[in-house]
Amino acid sequence: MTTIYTAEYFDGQTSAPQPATAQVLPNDGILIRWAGGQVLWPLDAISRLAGPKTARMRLICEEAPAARLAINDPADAARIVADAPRLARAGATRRGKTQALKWIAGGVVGLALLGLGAFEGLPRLAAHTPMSWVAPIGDNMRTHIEYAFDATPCASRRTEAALHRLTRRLLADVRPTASFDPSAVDVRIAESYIPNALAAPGGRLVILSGLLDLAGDTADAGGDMLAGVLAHEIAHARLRHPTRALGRALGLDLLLRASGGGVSADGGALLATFAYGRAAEREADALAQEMLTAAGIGDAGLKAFFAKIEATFGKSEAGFLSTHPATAERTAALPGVKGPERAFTKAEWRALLADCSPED
Amino acid sequence: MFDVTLKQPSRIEAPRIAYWGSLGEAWRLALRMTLLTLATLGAYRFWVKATVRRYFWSRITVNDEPLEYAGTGLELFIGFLIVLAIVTPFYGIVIVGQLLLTGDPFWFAASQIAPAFFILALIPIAVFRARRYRLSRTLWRGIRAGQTGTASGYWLRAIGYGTLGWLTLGLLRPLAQVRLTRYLMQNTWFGTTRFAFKARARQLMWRWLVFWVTLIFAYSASMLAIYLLEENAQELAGTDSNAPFPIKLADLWNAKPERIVFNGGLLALIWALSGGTYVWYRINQARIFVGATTLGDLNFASRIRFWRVARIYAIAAVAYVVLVIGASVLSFSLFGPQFGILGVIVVGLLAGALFMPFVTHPLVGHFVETLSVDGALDVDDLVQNTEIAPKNGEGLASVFEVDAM
Repeated sequence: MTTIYTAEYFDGQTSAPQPATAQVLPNDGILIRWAGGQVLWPLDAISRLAGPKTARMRLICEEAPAARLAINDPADAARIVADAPRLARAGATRRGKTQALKWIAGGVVGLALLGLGAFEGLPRLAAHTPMSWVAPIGDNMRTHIEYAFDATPCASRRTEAALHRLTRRLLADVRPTASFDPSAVDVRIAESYIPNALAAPGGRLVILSGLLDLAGDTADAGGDMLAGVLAHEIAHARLRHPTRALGRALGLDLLLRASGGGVSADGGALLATFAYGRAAEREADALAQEMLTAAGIGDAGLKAFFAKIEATFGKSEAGFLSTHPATAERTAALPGVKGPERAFTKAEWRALLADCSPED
Repeated sequence: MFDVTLKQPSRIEAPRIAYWGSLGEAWRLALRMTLLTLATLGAYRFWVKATVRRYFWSRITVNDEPLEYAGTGLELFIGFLIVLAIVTPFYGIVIVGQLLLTGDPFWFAASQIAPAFFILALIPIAVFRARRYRLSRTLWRGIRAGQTGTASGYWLRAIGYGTLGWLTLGLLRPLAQVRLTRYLMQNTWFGTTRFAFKARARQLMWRWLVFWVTLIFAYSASMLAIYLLEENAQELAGTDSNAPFPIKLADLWNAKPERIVFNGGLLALIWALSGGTYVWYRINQARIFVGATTLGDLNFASRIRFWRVARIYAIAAVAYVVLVIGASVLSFSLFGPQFGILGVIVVGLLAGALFMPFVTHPLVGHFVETLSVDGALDVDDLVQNTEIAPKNGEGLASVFEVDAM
């Protein structure tokens, strides 16, 4: 014999409360009777609605989402809780909670996968796109870089030709692959006091002419230093580092939007993505050394350039591209062999200094 | 067999509305929700929204019967996924477009601004749909509220009146506020009874003008202060006074320190005054809007008070600033200049949790406690409205209203 409690029933159709009785049948559920009829709510489909502590107990059933049962007497409510402890607190049914948990877990896993895709998948995918696809983007990014550094392209036929010849020499032994086309590499000098060199996607490289001043004015040493830097940037292009970085930036943008909800798209922000990481820099150094040796120039110039950076900007990493590994470490990794041939003729180097120096 | 024979009242007379939330509950909820959001990399934030709404709805009672929020985090999450699926390709196109246009400064700027305008134009639709969703999940005694009208109808009005507001330099903004609120309120239902809204723009006009003047004054004062500091900085540096456009704001810090402090302090005071005037305007707007609202024979009135609301915002602002500055100092002194910023970011996220106990809880409490209703409503008029029922079976987009934008 179970107790019958006085209650109010809202049928979900009208707002008028209907005097009712509620009876807990431990194995079946709660039997509700009112003037208009009766209904049995299964226990596992019942949950308690949230409300202030002073408010009476109100129950809801998944099978009749708009109907409500209010228990008038707090003592009766306590007895119902004794029969069904789950109803002590407001909250979803076990089924509802399990469902929500599954979706939350799915959301976390989804975000983690998205993160993995952003940091690993997209850069890999980007590195396999043909260079010609990203070349228009690279062209614009290079122009934007020059704009950001307040640098204007050095318009001098003879220096262009000298630079082109050196680029071809460095790439002479490099065979085209699906992801790298040596003939697509395009280098230009832009006039700026800042000594820097950058590689944009699609083999679009730019040397800021501050580097020419930094390299000094002896043709042999200075020219080979510039060749070392150029070989390093070409190595980045061969390894598709700029395109990978672009892919990672795109992925990061997507990830931020997914987890933060509403981070605005900003292609400009993607330009700040020339940090490739230490491993990538070491990789580019090794490949540059290979190309310099094959071209007969040797890596002494690149090694001398690192020494020059260290002498000019100190031992800190903060000088030439703070994202590069400590120069001492990189210098030590290079054998520093001077090859039989020089990067530029004396006339070419003089022309470079005369035409593209930032003093112009 | 039936011993309960109470005669049920057929009219709801002057319903009592009360708020039962407590600061302790708000704090516990805020902290729990923030920690769960951080622990799930943000995935939990949809359930946060639903849980917080469920809390505040359930702590508001009408004739001792709490309101109910029946929405779930899952609905919001799925709505978000749908929006993400629509928006991601759009952003993809935008980003590639921006990358292709970065070479030319003009087209680059244009490619940055155009998508922002597009997103801005979508806001009225998001507002309308989100409100419709929230109302359809709001229940009392099992009876649903709801919203009719169309998103396109609301969008046209929002763009039209919004443009009118801009063209008049903001002078006609109250007209937009009144017309848009009227469209929303006249389309708001509780069961089978419809709300009515009778506010007029001219009721708001002179107060808006007071705020508008303070705003123009604050803008002009800011421009003047920047100009004067710039001039002083250049005087000290000995450079010519024809500053190239754009003015390099960094130069301002080279002006005399006492001038920076004086001008900055004066500007802060002027902006605080303008901000205070805005709160004062909004308070009066709320009173007028609530007073103009009726539901059947029920008339609403609000006695919401300026000083109370201003105090809530002032305390929250002070708490926020103290917390963030305190945490920054602590973080930088503990983790050094390189990693100190990480602590500040985490605290910044946690500080967002302050909003609920410091702003939402007291604000909702004050609004509800100063809300009064007179007149009466026949219970027979409060019947479940099948027309405004949340639709099912029309695909996900109609089942789960888009509320995540």
